[in-house]
Amino acid sequence: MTLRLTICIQWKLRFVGAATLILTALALTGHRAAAEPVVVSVLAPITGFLALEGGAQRNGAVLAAEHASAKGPIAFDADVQDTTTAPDVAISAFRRALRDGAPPGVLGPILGSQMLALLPLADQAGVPILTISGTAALTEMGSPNIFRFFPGDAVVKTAHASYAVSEVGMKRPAILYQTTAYGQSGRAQLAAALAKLGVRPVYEEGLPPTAKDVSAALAKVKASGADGVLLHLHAGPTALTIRQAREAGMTLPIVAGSAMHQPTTAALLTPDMLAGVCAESGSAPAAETEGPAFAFAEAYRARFETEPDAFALAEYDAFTVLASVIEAGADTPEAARQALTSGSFNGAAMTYASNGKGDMAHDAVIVCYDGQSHRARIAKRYRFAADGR
Amino acid sequence: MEALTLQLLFNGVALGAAYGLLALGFALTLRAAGAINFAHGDVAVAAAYAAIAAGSLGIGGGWSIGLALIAGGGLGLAVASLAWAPLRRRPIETTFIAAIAIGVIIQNGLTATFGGAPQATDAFAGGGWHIGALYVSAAAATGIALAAAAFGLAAFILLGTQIGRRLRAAAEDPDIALSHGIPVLKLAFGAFAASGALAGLAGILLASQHFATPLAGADYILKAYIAATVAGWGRILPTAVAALLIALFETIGAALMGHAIAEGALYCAFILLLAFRPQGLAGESVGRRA
Repeated sequence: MTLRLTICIQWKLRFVGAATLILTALALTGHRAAAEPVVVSVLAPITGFLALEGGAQRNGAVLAAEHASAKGPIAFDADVQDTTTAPDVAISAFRRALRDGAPPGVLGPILGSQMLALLPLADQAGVPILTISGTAALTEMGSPNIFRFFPGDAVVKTAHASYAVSEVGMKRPAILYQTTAYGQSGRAQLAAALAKLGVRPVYEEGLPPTAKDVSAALAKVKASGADGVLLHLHAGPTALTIRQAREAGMTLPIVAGSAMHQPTTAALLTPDMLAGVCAESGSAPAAETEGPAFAFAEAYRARFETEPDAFALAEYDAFTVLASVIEAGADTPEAARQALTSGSFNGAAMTYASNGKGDMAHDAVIVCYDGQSHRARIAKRYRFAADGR
Repeated sequence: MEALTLQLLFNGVALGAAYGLLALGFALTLRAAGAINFAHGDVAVAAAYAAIAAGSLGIGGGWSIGLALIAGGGLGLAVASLAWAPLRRRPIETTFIAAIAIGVIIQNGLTATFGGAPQATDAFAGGGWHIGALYVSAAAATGIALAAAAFGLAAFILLGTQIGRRLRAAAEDPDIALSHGIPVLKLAFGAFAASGALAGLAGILLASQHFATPLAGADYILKAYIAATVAGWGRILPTAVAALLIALFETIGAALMGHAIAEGALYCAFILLLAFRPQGLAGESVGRRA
C-alpha cells in the first residue's frame, strides 16, 4: 500500500513537473491563455429516460460551440457531462463544472427535478445557470441565477389552448395528460388557459407513462361528445394514443403537446394517421423553410445526420447567448448575470429577454401535419410579451 | 358498449399474449435454474432492437420474428454465462445483482446505439380488419396466434417429453437429479436460451404494437415478476395464465376505473394476494423467493 502510494506521488510529481515545463514553454513561445478555448460546462441527461432530449441538448451545445468558435474571436468548447436522470449525479456534474473556479455560466440539464436540486448550489456559488427545462417552479423561486431559454408551460399551453379553440374551433375538448409531474403541470396550465377562453373540457384523464392500451380512455373521450382532443403526453404515449385513436376510427382533430413536434415522434406513425394532428412547441426548426431557425436546421442535419427539434435549438441559443455575453467582456459570474438579466438577445428561434424572473423565452409555434408526409408545417406563431400577455 | 367490451377483451388478450410469453420465460429459468433473471425484460427489449436494426437493413417483415427469437436466445445464453453460471454457488443475491447489472448495460448500450427516442418496428404484419365496431390489427392477431403456439409447445415439452420430466426433476433437487445422470447444467443453459427466445418473441410483439424504448424492460420484468408471484413461485404454465389476467385487468380495469386508478388497483390486489396467499394462486413449486 505504502509502495503504491509512493509510486503514485512520484508519478504525480512527474506530471506536475512536465505540466510546468509545457506551460513555461508555451509562455516563452508567445502562447497566451486567451488563445485557449473557453470551456463551457453542459450538463445533460445523455442516458436514462430523457436521453432523447438530453441528446438534443448535447448536439445543440456542440454545434453552438463550433459556430461561436468559427465566428471568433474567442474559441469555445462544450464540455458535455452526463447527468443521467438522478439529482445527485447532476449535483456531482455541477461541482465538477466549478472545480477550476466559478465560470460565467453553466448550461443545466433539461430535467426539472435535477434543476431544482442544482438551483440552491448555483445560488450558493453565485453562478448563472442557463436551462431549457420547462418546469414552472424554477423561475418562481426567486433565484437571480436561473435563466430559462425554453418557453414555460404558461406560454406554450396558452398557445396550445388558443389554437385549439380559435383556429380549430374546439368548444368541447377532451384532455388526455400524463400522470407525471410534467403532465400534471401542463394539464393545469392548459385547463387555466381554456378557462380564460371560456371553454371547459368535457373529459379529462391522466395516463400513466406505462399504459399500453389506451382504447378505454379513447372510448370515454368519444362517449363524452368531445369535438377535439388535447394531448399533453410524452413522445411514446403521444404516438401510441394517436395510432390507437386512428385505428379505432376516431377522426377528431388532435392538438398535441410539444412531443408531437419532434420528427422522431412523427416517424412512429404513418402519414395518414397524422392527418388532423397539430402540436405546440417553443420552436420547430425541422418545419422552418427560411430564416435563422432554418439555417440552424440545415447545419444540424449536416453535422448530426438527424432532424433537429426545439430542445436542440433552445440549447443552441442558450449556449450562443452565453458565448456572446462572454465575448462582450462578461467573463465573471456577476458580469454574466447582469448581462443576461438586462440584455435582449436575438437567437435563431426567437428574441430572448428576461421577464425579471429568469424566463427568457416568450414565443411559441403550432405545427400541423397534412396527412401526406411526416413533415410538419408551421401553422401559427405566437409571440407573448415578457410579462405573459 | 358491447363493441367496446369486445375491443377491450381483444386488446387485453393481445397484450396478455405478450406478457404471457415474457412470464413463461421468466418462470422457466426460475424453475430450471432457480435463477431470478432481472435482465429478462431488457433481453426482450434488446431482441426487439436487434429486429429493428435488421429491419433498417432491409431484413424486416416476417424475418423480424425469427431474428428476435435468435437474438433473445443468444442473449439468454449470455446472461446464463455471465450472471448465473459463474455465481450459482454464491449467495443467490449475487446472481440478482449480476443480472441487474447486465440489464443496465443493455439499457445504456441501446441508448448509446439507437438513442432514447421510441422506435417503431418494421411491421411483420401491417394493417388490420374492421369487423363491425371491432378493430383487429394484424400484428395483434399474429401475436396471439404465435403466443398460443408457444404456450402449446411449452406445455407439450414440459408435460409430455423426457426433457420436461428431467427439467422438473432438476428443479425439485438438482443434486439428486445430477446423481441420476441428468445433465443439470446443460438443462439450465437450455432453459436460459429458451427463456431468452420467448422474451425475444414477446419483445417484438410488444414493440410492434407499443413501440420500443431502451428502458421499457423495467416495466416488462415487473409484470413478469408479478405474474410469477400471483401464479405461484416456479409454476410455469400458471404464470403465463396470470400474465394474461394482468393484461386483462389493465385494459378492463382502465375502462372501469381509469388508467391511473387501474394501475394502482393492480398493485393493491398484488399486495393483498401477498398478504393472504403468499404461495400464489396455484401454490409454490420453488421454495426460494426474492
